[in-house]
Amino acid sequence: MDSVEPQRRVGGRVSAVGSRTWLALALQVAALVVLSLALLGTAWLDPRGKPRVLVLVDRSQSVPRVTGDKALAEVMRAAEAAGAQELQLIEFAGKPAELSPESIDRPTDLDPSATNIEAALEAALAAHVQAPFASVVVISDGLENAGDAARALRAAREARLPVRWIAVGREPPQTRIAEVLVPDRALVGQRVQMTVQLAGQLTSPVRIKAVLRAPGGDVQTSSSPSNGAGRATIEFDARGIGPLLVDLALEDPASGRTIDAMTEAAVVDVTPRAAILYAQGSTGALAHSLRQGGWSLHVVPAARLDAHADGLDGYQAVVLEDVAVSDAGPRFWSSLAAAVKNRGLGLLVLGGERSFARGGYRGSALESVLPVSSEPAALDEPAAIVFAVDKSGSMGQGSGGVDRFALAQRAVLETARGLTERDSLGLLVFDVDSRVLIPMGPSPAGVAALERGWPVSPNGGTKLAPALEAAIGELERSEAGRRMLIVVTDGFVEGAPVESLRARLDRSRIEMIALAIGPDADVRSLERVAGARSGRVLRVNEAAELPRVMRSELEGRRARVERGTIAVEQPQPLPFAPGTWNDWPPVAAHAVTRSQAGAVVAVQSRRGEPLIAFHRSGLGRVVAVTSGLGPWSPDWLGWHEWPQLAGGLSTWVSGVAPGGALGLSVTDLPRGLQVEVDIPRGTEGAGSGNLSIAVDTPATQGRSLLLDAVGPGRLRAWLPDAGPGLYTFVASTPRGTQRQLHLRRQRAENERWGNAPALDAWTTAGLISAWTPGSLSQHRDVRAGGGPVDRTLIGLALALFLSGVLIDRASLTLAGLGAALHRWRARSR
Amino acid sequence: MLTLVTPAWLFGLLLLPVIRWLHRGGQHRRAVPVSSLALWRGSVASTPAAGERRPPDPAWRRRALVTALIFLALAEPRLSVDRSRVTLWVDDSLSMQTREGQGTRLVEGLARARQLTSDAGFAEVEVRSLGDPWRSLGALGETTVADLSASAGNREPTPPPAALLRADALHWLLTDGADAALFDWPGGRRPDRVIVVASTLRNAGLERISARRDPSDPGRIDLLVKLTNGGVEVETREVVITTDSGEVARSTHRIETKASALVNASIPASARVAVRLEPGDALAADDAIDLDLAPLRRRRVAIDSKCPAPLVAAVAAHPALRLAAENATDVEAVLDCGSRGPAANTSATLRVLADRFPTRLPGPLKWSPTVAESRRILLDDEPWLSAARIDARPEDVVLLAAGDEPLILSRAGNAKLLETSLDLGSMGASRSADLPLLVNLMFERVLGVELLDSIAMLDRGSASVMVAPAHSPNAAPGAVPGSSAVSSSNESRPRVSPMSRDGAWPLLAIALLLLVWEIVALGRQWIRLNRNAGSVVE
Repeated sequence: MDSVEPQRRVGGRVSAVGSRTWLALALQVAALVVLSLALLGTAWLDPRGKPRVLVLVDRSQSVPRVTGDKALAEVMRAAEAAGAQELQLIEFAGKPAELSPESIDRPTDLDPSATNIEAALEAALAAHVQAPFASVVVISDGLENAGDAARALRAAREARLPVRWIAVGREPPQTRIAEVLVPDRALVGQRVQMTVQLAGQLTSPVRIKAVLRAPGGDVQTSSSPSNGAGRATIEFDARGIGPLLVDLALEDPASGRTIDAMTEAAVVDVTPRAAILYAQGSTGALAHSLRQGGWSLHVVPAARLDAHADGLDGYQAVVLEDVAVSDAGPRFWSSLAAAVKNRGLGLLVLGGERSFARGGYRGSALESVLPVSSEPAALDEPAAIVFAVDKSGSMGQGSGGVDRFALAQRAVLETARGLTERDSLGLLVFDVDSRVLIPMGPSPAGVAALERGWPVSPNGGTKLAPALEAAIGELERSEAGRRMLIVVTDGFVEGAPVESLRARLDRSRIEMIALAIGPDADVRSLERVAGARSGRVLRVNEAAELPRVMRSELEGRRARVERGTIAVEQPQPLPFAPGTWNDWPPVAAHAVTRSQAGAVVAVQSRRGEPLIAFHRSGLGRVVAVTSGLGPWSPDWLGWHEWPQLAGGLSTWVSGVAPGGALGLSVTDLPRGLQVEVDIPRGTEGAGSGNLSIAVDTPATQGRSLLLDAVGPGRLRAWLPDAGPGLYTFVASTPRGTQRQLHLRRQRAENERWGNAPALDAWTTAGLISAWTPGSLSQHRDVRAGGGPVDRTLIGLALALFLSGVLIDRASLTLAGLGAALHRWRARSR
Repeated sequence: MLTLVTPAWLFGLLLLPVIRWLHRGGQHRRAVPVSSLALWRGSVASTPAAGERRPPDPAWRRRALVTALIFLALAEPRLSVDRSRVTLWVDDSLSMQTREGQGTRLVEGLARARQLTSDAGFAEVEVRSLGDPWRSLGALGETTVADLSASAGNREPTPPPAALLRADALHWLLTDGADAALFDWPGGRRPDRVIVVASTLRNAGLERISARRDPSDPGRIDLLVKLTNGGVEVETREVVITTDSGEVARSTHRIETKASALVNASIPASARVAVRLEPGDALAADDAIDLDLAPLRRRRVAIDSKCPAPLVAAVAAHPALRLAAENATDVEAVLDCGSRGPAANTSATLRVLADRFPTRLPGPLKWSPTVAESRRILLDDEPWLSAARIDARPEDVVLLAAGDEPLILSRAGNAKLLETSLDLGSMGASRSADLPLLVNLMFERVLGVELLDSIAMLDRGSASVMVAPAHSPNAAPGAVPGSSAVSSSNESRPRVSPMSRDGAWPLLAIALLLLVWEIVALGRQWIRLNRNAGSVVE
C-alpha cells in the first residue's frame, strides 16, 4: 500500500498538471486564432479599423430636400449598424461645401441652381488622399449641368475609391408648367397678356398664379384657370418702368396646394411711353409713319410752339420738321435747349425750305444743341439788294426813345454788314414819294454810307407803289445773279397796281421780302405783291425784333440749298441697328451745313456735306437730318429700309429702346454668361478702345467686364459663376449706350425630373454601383489602404496568451484555492 | 528610423520578470529521455530542499519573447523607408516644344529625368502628362518620349489631381516654368523634385486666329490674328497669310515683351487659311497656325418651288445659306412650303405652313424664354399675317406666338423640324426689314449653328507662347529651397520625405510563429503528462 499511495499522489498531481496544460493549450490556441485574425485585417473594437465612409449629398434644386435627407438618414443608420468608424458629409450643388462631420442642416452657399458632381467628387478625392475612405456614397439624381461627372468617376476608380449611388430623382408633378410666353417689352401702363402652357395631366382644372415683381419692390399678383387644352392666359398691368420678373405657380383650386412652380419664369421690359412733341413747319412723312408704328405723338403746327415752352417736361423727344426759328419766341428755344442739355430731352431736326440757315438757326439757341452748324457754307452767288424803308409818320412811333424808323435803320445796317464784297446794295426811303438815298453800288461803299446816318426823318403818308417801282428800277440795272428787294413798312397798300407790280417783279426775277411792322400793316396786300413762290411777308409785331428778323430772313434766303439728284453715302454707322446700309437712295435737296466738333456725320452727300448727323448735347441725343424726311428725300420714303430708318431715328433720340450700333448678345453657358459685342465695320479701332460693358447682376451693380478681341469686329467678355436671376448689360460708347436684359433661368434644375440616364451607363461601365444598406458591411473586413492592425484583437490575443502562461505555471486548482481560502479564514478568526 | 506611436504600451514589458518568476524552480516540463534509470539507483536524490536553486524552465524565454513582441506591436512602431516609386509629372504644354541645345525642352527634360532616376536607383518610374493626368504613360522609355512629343500642346496642362498624388510614390515635376499655375498643386502639396528645362528666353508666337465673313462682301473673309511676345525681349515678326490660292497678305509687327498685337486682314474666301511668322524662332510650333474655314461655309438649302418669292429672296440673300434645287440631296436643310410630305422630312426642315386665307395676328407677339433675349428680333406686329393654325403638342417648343396662337414652333423628335404659320410671302412681310432676320433665326434653330455672325476660331491660350520661366524653382510654390537658379536642365534637390511603414505587422508575425511553437510545446507536454498519468493509475 505504501508503494501504491505515493504513486496515487504522483498520479493525481500529474493529472492536475495535465488539466492545467490542457487549459493553457486551449488559451494559447485561442490567442493564436485571435492574432491571426488581427493580422488578416479583421476589425473588432479598434475604431481605426472601422470603415470610414464619405457621403456626398446633392442639395441642388432638382433633388427634394426631404428625399435627400431621407436617403442620408438611411445611410447613417446603415453605417451605425455596420459599425462604421466615421461618417463624413459633403453637401454639394453647383459647388461643394467644406468637409464636415454629420451635420445636415448647416446653411451653405452651394449655388443650388446648378449641379456639379465632378466638383463634389474631386473634393471627396482630395479628402480621400488625406485619410482614406472605405467608400463614398453619392445621394443625387445625377442630373448635372456643370462639370463632367464621368471624368471624376474615372478618377475615383483610379484612386481605388468605390462609389455607391443612391438615386433620388424626383417624380414629375402630374401637371406642370411647360412654357410661358410673354411680350419682350411693354409700355408703361399697358395691359400685358401672358400665356402659360401646361403639360402632363390636363383634365383636372388648375389655377395658374403669377407674381410680378418690379425693381422698386412693387409686387402684383394675377391668376387665371387653365382651359381644357392646358393653357391659361393671365393679364397684368405694366405699372412701373423697368424689368418685371414673373414667378409662376400652379395651384389646385380646391385645396390651394402648389402643384408646380417656376420662379423667374420670364421678364418683361417695361419702357416709358415714347411721347414725342412733333412740330410741323411743313407736312412730311415721318409723323404718319411713327403713328402707324404705334408711337405716341403730339403734333402741333410750328407756329404754336410757344405754347409748349413750359411743357417740354412731359415729352421724351421733340421733332422739328421744317421749323424756322421765327416760328417760336426766344423763350421756347431757350427752354428747348435747356431741356436737351440738362434733362436729356431728345431732339430730331428735319430739314426743309424753312429750316437750318433758311430758318434762321444761325447763332440761335437751337443751333447751340445741334450737331451741325447752320452757318451758310457759301455766299458765293453775288446779290443785288435794295432796301425800301417806309419813312411815313407812323414809322416814328415807338417807345423808350426808339421808334420804328430808327429800328429799321439799325436792321438795314446790321443786315448790310453781313453782305460780301461782291454784293451790291441800294437804299431808298418812301412816304408818299420815294427817294433814293444810296444808289445801287458795291456793298462796302453802301455800308459806309449807311453808317454815316440817314438824312431823313419820319413824316408824311404812305404810297408803296412808287417806291416799289423805283426799287425795281434800281435792281433791274444790276447784273447780279440774285436780285432782292427788302421792304419795311407799317402802312397800307392802297391803290397800288398789285398785279402789274407782281408781274414786273417776276419778270425781273426779283425776290421780295416784306417786313410788315405793327398791327396796321397791310399784310394781305403785301403778300399779293410779293407772291407765294419767291416772295415772303413777315409780320413783325415787336419792332425790336426787326433787325434780327431782317438779317435772318436774308441769310436764310441766301443760304445754299443743294438741289438735284444728290448721291448719298454712309461713312459712319447710325446709332441704331443695323446701323449701316449700302443702298441709300439719293435725295432731291438738302440744306448745306457743317458738322459741329464732336458730332458724327453718319450719312453725307458725295461732296461730304452732312445729311444725317448726330451727337450728344449735354444729356440729350440730337439728330439733324438736313435733307429732311419729306419732299427733299422722296426716294427715302419708298425705300425698304424706311421703317428701320424712321423708327431708329425716333427710337434713338427718345432713348427708350436698346438702340445703338453695337450687336450685343448674351449666351447662357453652364459656367457663366458669355457676352459678345459686334462693332460695326469701319469703327473697330475707335470702338473697341472706347467700349465698356457694365452689368447689374442679382448681387452687384455696375460691375465692369473685361473685353477681349476674339474675332474681326467682335469683342468678348466673360461673367463667370453667374447664378440665376436678371442681368442687365449696358454697353457704352461715345455714340451712346445699349442696354440688354438677360434672364438666367433655373430651368436645368427646376424643370427636370427623374434620374439621369447616365447613371445606368456609369453602372454598366463599373464606375458606380447601387447603394444597399449592406454595402457598408462589405467594407468592414477590408481596410482601405492597409490600415493599422486592430489593437483590441492584439490586446485580446495577449491576454489569452498570458492567461495560458499563468495557468500553466501557477498551481491554481480548485482544491488549492479552497485550501487557501480555508487558511485565510482560519487566520482571520 | 523607428518611431513609436503609442510608447506607453512599453510598460507592458515590466511583465517579463513576472513571467520569469513564474517559471522559477518546480518541475521542468521538458521531457528528458534516458535509456535506463538503473544507473542512478544508488545515487542520492537531489531535491530543492538540498539548498540548490534549480534553473528556471527554459520555456520562459519563448513566452517572454512573445509577450515582448506583442507589447512592442501595441506601441505601433513606424519604420521610415525611402520610397522607391516615382511618378514623373510632365508639363506637355506647347512651350515644351521649344528647341534647346540638342532637342526640345521635352526631350532634354525627359532625358535628364531618366538620368536622375537611374542615378538615384528608382526601379519604378511612372510618367503622366499634366495635359491628360488620368492616363498613365507607363515607364520612362523611348515610346513615352515619342508620345509626349507628339501630343505636346494639344491639351492645356493643369496641376495633377489630388487623387493621383499617392503617398507611396515620389512626385517629380518636369516643366519649363513658363506657366506658374502648374506649381499650384492641390492641398498645398509640393513636388518632391522639380526639373526645369529652360534656357531659351525669346519667342513670339501666334496665340489666336479667328475669321468671319465680310458682311459687305460674301466673297471675302475678315481675319484677326493675335500675335504675342512670350519672351523677354522686344521682337519683330512678319505675319504671312496664305490661302489655297497662295500668299494673300504680309505685314510686319513689333511686339513688346509680354504684349500682344492684333493683325486684321481681309482675304478672299477659301477653305483654309494658314498664318506663319517670319523669321521663325526656337518654338516653331507656335510660328504657324492653320484654320479650317469650313464652319463659315454657305450651307445648301433645298428650296421648295412653292415658296413665296420674298422668302426665297431672303434665303438667297443670306450670307451663310445657298439655294439648292428642290430635289437636291446633298443639302443641310430643307425649306418646305407644302410640296414635301411630312414623311419626307428626314433632314433639318423649316416648314412654312399655309392652309387658310392670311389673317391678322390674334394678339401681340411673344417670344419664348428659350430664345435668349439678345437673340430675339424686335418685330412689329403690323406687317405680319398668319396663314395657318399650328397645334402645339406639350413636348414641342413654341418659339414665337401671337396671343395664344403659335407662330414658330420647334417640333419634338429626332429630325429637327421647325414650323411657322407666318405668311412670309405677304406684302407686309416682304417689305419688312425683319424678314431676313427672321429667316436667319429660324435656320439657326433648325441647323443648330450660328449662321449670321459665326466665327471660326483657333485659340491656343496665352500660356502657349510663354517660354520664359515665370518662376524659378526656388520661388515656385512646389519647389525646394536651395536649388539653383533658372538655367538649362535645372532641377531642385529631391525632398527628403521618406514614407513610414507599419512595423507592428512583422513583430506580430514573429509572435505568431512563437505562439505556434508554444502551442506545439504545450501539446507535447500535455501528451506526455497524459501518458504518465495513465501508466501510474492503471
